[in-house]
Amino acid sequence: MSSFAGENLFASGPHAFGFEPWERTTQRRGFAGVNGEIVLDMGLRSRQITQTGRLRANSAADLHELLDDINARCDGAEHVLVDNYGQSYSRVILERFGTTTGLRHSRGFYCDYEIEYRQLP
Amino acid sequence: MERYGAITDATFGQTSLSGPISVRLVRRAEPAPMGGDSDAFVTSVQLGLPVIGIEVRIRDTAVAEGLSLGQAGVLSVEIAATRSGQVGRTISITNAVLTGIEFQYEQSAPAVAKLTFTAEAADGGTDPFAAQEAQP
Repeated sequence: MSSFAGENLFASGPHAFGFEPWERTTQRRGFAGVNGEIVLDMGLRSRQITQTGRLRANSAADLHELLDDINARCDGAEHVLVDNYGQSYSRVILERFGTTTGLRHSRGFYCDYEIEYRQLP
Repeated sequence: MERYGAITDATFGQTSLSGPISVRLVRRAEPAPMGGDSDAFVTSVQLGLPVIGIEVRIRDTAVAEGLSLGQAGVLSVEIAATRSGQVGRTISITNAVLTGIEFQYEQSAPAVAKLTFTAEAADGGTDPFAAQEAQP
């Protein structure tokens, strides 16, 4: 079961995680008349993690409460993200959270969403 | 299993759809399936807005020729019972929008007009479809 900051926020619906590669930045310097180049290692930066899924609740009020709970984790602090397979990812910041559909009513209330995290090394 | 007899009356707005052959009603909602990355099967099926489609086939092609696409009104169909003691059925769509008119002419066979409607709920919440036992 997935979680973020130790909270079970996403269990109401299915969701999937996507992991971007880690990025190591470098600066390259060349000199006139000299073969080759100097590569300056600027270090490991960060990587983006995306999560897409669906939230469900029995009422619109419950669904809004769930959305507020997730929004509250967009606090700029580092948290631990656990994916659907139980793999933990530390130093993860929730950068962006939004719904990709309106609040819809069919079998209960639901909306689809997307989250962007950034993981620091 | 219910078995009904003749379609005794079919009207659309102020127009009598004379010579009715059959009425077909379809209520459908598009599924929106979704599954997570640890799921082998879809774990969430939500539904889009339900659409009620109606298809009425009539013999009187002249009536169908007088109708216009986009025309809206109450579509009412009365179906008779087959035997004594059984009651017929009255089906009504409070706001049916005419979305298709199709004519079929066949050699040595009566012509048929097929009228296709989609129901509209004016307030977005009330089911435009109603079916009840016909008044004796």
